[in-house]
Amino acid sequence: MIPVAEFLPLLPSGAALLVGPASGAVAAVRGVVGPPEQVGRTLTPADDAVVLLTPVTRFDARFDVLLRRAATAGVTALVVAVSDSAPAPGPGTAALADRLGVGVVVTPDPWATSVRMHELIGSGEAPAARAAVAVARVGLDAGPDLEELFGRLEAELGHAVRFLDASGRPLRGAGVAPATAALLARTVGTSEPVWATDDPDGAEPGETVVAVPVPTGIGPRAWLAVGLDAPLAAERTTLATALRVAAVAAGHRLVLTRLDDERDARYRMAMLDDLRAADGAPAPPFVQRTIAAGWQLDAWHVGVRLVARQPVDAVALRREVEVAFAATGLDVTVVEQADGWALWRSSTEEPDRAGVAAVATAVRTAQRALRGTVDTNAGVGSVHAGAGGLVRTLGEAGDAVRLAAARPESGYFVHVDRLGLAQLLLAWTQTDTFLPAAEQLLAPLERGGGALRATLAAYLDAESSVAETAAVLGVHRNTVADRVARVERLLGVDLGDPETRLALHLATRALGGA
Amino acid sequence: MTGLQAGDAVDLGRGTALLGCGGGGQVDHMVHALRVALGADTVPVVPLDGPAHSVIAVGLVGSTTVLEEKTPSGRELPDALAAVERWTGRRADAVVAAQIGGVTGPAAALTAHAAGLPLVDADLVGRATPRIDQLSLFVDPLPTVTAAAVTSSGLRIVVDAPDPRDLETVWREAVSHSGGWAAFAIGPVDADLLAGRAVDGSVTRAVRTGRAAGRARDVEHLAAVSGGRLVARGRVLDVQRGGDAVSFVHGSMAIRDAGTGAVVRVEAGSEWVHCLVDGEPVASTPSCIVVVDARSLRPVSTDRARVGDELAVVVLPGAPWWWAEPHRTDRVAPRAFGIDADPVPEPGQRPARGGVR
Repeated sequence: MIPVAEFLPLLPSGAALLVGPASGAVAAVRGVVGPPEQVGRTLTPADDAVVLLTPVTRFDARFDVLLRRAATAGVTALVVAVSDSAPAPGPGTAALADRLGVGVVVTPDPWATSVRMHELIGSGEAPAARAAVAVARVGLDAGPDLEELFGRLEAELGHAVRFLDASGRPLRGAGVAPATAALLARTVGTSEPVWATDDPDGAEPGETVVAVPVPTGIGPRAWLAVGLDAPLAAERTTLATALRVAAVAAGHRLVLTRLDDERDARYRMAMLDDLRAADGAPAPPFVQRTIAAGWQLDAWHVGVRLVARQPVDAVALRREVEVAFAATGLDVTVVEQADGWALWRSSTEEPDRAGVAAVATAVRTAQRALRGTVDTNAGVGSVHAGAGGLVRTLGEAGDAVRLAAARPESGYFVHVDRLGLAQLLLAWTQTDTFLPAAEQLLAPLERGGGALRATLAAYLDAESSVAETAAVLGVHRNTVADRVARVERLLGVDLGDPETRLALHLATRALGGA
Repeated sequence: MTGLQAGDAVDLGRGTALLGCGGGGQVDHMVHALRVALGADTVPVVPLDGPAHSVIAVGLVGSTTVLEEKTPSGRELPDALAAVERWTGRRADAVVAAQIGGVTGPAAALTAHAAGLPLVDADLVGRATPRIDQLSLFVDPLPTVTAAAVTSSGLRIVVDAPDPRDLETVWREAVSHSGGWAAFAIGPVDADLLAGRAVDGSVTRAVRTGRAAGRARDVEHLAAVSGGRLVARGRVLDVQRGGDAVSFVHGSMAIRDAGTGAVVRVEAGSEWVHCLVDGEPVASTPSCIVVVDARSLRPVSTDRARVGDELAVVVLPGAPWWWAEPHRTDRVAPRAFGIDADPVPEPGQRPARGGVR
């Protein structure tokens, strides 16, 4: 038995309760042709809902008689079409329908409504199969645009289609209740539909959401979902089937989009690599390509590097980065990199101090805005002009972002303009050639235990003062003197020599930060 | 009852207003005219099987609304009577009301008085109907009918018609172009013929009903003393009206019964024709469905009912003459008023045919 109120929203569009209560329940439906008085004579106690296939022309005494016969036969719902010229039912008809407990539902298409009610009541798989075929056709016919696909799905299914990310956040359409979102976030590796009802035990149960995972094989998972106010079993089956077909169509479009994005990203990365390799003097055909890509090489550039602190899909998140920077008003070019993004801002005039500071502020703002999606380290280079300048400022930004990784106190943000010489020097030591050399240089100290390297670092930082080193390390100064002697012995060096001290100091700093 | 006097006029008027069943026109003006005209005189009321040999039926046709605005001069009915007599060369020796319900009842008494003839204690309907061919005289074929109409604009038309529907057609046309209403006279008819084709005792019934209604304290009492049954009493929920080709007014009124909560619908086609309680038909023509104001007990015509009025529906028995034969019943059943419903037999009344469900 299905209450009239529950199937009402699922009937073909235009169906509405005209008069009477919607509280009655329906287990059987029958369509009858003829005027009301003729329909009235055919009613039997086996009927629950009766559809008048012939439009009603008047809500008069004959309709009253029909209501009475319906009530006597235990019919809880009469579904009628109203002819164009018919006046609306008066308060008398409404009062009688209420009194007799017969709900009158109006629909523009009684035949379709009759069939639909039959399906909602029944348990056959035909509606699900039909929905699957219809959705498959939508999937084949709709263009590559996801929004078009969703729009046509909504028209076909008669429900608003929601697109959710892996954690249940809405990417399109309304969101879902927090409990439902949490359930979706927990549900991993299923291809089955997930059902969730808000507050199922409450006095007034909320909507029921059916969500189907979108299969793409790449990137983060997503969900296709529909919310239902009245969860009828037949409707659930139909919707779940339709959504599973729709999910394949949506996944297909996601993969295509992703392929496009990947190709573009690779093109941009290759172009940036070529620019670096050109060593400041790119060949004219290459310059033409950069112009076609919208890159303005002959300008003043401020480079920025964003490096994600955890593994990241730079291609998928490119859009988020662009949005974050667009929100700050900073017009930047973005190129995906293996560990994050390289960006720069070009201007025809040389930016002044305030202009550069504004860029730095915008980068910090964007970095903060991105935190919800991905945690990043940010480095900003100084101002340089031309194609070579672009490579240089991006290099500086790369150095700065390495420093930023070790600087939580500055919000993982470093701007080269504010760097001391020593820090720049340090940045230069952290290269692929210097680091192994430093490692080799200090390797003998590992044999004497970790304390030797820490002591050497502290001793050099403390201007070769044994007393100061002892205070910093919290050990006796004889211990420090002994360790320093061992270091000299193990490394075979004289710490009194300034050249040696500089080399060892750089080596300890470079490794210390690593 | 053997004679009508000035003192009976008000009771007669009240009775004919109730038997008008929501149609038939307002009686007040005609009752006043009758009382003044009678003075100390008496109009003899003779039984249907009495001394009269040749009877002329008189009545009014057309818009009762216009009748209220353009009141009769008093000459129209006697002129129509005279026209028929002159055309047929037969003198009438009695007058019978074409229908007892509404303004025609007192008008017939007034005509009888003006013509110096007795009034037959009968009529051709027992209530009110909208059309000439619904008169009991015409239910079975007549060889030929002579009838005269005098419109309110003074136009006189005499028609010899083999079919009463022709009368109806001619008069409607004439009336719609000339004044809005007309007085008519039909006959003279042999009293022997009339005896089998008339509703007996109508004048007596009207006076008795009017007298009883005048003493009634409330609607229950009214129903009891007038020999009827109270169907509903309550406020009007809904009134719907629409024009119709067959009858002049087609409409429907719904009342919520104050006692039971039932939804009572009364359908009108000129008169109150069909009554349902909770979708169950409880009364129809030829029974007299009378709607009265619940407090003043005055009859409410079909065009006066308004949403929010507190009304009562009383059903008085219709003339048994109509129930005796199925083809008679058909002539005054709801369908004859343009309402698609079967006639509802009165409680205790044996239906004239098996078609009533």
